[in-house]
Amino acid sequence: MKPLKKKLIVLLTLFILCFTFFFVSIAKGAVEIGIKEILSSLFRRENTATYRIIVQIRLPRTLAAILVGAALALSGAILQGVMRNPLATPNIIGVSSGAGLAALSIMILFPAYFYLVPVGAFVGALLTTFLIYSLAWKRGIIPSRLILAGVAVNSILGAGNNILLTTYPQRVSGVINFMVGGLSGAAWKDVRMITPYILISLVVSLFFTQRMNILMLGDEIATGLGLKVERVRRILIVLSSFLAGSAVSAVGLLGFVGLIVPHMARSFVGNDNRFLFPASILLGSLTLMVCDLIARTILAPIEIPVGVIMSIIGGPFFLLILRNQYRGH
Amino acid sequence: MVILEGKHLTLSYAEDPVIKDASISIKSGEIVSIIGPNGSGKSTLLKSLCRLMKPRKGQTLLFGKDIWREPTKEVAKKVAILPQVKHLRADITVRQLVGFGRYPHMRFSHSLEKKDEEIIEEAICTVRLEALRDRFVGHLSGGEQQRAWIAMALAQVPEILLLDEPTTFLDISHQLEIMETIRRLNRERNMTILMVLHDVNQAVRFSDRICAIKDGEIVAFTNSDEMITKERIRELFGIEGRIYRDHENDCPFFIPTHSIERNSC
Repeated sequence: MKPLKKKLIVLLTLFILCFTFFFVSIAKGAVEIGIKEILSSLFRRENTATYRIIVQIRLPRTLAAILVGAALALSGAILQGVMRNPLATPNIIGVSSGAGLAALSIMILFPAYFYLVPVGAFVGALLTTFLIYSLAWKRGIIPSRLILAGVAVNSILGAGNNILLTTYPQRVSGVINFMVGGLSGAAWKDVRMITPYILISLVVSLFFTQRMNILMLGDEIATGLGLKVERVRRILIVLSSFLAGSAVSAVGLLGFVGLIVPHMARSFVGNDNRFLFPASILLGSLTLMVCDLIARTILAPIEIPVGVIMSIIGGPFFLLILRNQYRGH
Repeated sequence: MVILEGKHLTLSYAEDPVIKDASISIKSGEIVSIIGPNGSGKSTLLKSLCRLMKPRKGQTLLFGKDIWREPTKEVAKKVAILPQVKHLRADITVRQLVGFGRYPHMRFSHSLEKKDEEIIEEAICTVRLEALRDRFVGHLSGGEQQRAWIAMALAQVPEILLLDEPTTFLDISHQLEIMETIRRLNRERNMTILMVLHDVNQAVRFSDRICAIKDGEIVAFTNSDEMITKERIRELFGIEGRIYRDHENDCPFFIPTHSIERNSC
């Protein structure tokens, strides 16, 4: 059982790296904080400057990175599997755009209701999912039709976003951070809001790994094996948009994680979803923590949006993996 | 005893029905093949008999019960299907694939118990893939892949096995191997077999009864000897040919000679 052992070692390594970077992420920044100070201020809870930096800024930000990274990566892994398409991610089939349009509409048209942005993003993601689903429905769902419907819906929603941005140019600067996606504003209220949704979705999805393995053998084989194909597919798609919607509501349009992290995870543990799901979750958290760390330290005190770092570092890394995969065949 | 029965099935994908008011019944322990020209509705009929396709009219009875009202997992314990369209991820081994056959029997945890492992191993041995059990299915030959899928179906421990063109795309030796495997399952385990076949001679040699379909209607459902006549082949496929007798296998044998000009308009 060598391959199994290797996969478990990969998962364990990822977990240890996540754990380590959690502390590194809290320690590093404009002010460097030692590990002793971190622990002592966390446990003694004295209202010092260090304590405030840790508890009010870095801790929520790091937790947001962990949650959002896990959510986006798993959301991508689920969609790629359900659609049997390596390009299927929440931002390609319009789920993220739906969340974005709802959020932008509030920010630009009703800035007084700014606090509703997260809820709006969330509702936008779900509504878009149901829209795509019903558009693609005809005696059951055909994955390719759902992707095409999604791409079309995505471009319509994208047009909606652009109309907003061009009609209210004076308000664009306020929403740029949301458009490129960033963790700079992540606060406890964001963490508190997304935690239940993301944790529940993560746990539920882990119960569906074997069903998704069977679903990926094809609808007819899966039905023959006694899987309720439509129901399982619907649950997985809703889970995926729950995850994507929660992520967008907290950090904006940070899409790239959902595409590349699952593929990176695949190259480590293969396509068996029992390993791919946990690997994507851990690798997503790790990737976002590391990228956010780079984003806020490399040009300190200036901060670069984490989405930009993701693309600059993640893009070439992703291409490298693709190249190695093709060489392997 | 009739164990699988389609009653007055009307099946359609769009407006026009592909199958019109077809009735068919399969008895326990027999091998039945469905033959007919391309587009005649063979696969569609097969799908409706194993709940892959919902009939517009009529019903399918499995052991006398409506197949659409039975829990789908319960159906999967009695009927295994090998459709034409199958997807395979790159890194799945023979043993893992066959293991999926245990899904309908599994509990909530989806973990394989000792009994499951034994059934999986036995299924792999039945199709003679012992030596390849830890290899990736995608790296096997077409015939070996097909045998791996059959082993997955066997791991369901079904009473009925349905196959949709199991020998298409295989060379002649692999075709024979698959057909012999199917017959062995029938003889040694009394497994009921229903399959769609393209090759008339294969159907004749390996089936107890043959169901001939043309333009969505069952035109004949009888034993091999009565099925293969010059008139019937002409009616079904629009070709002329000669019929000989294969004395060793004790069955008729058809050799096509030429096609009849079809109306061009």
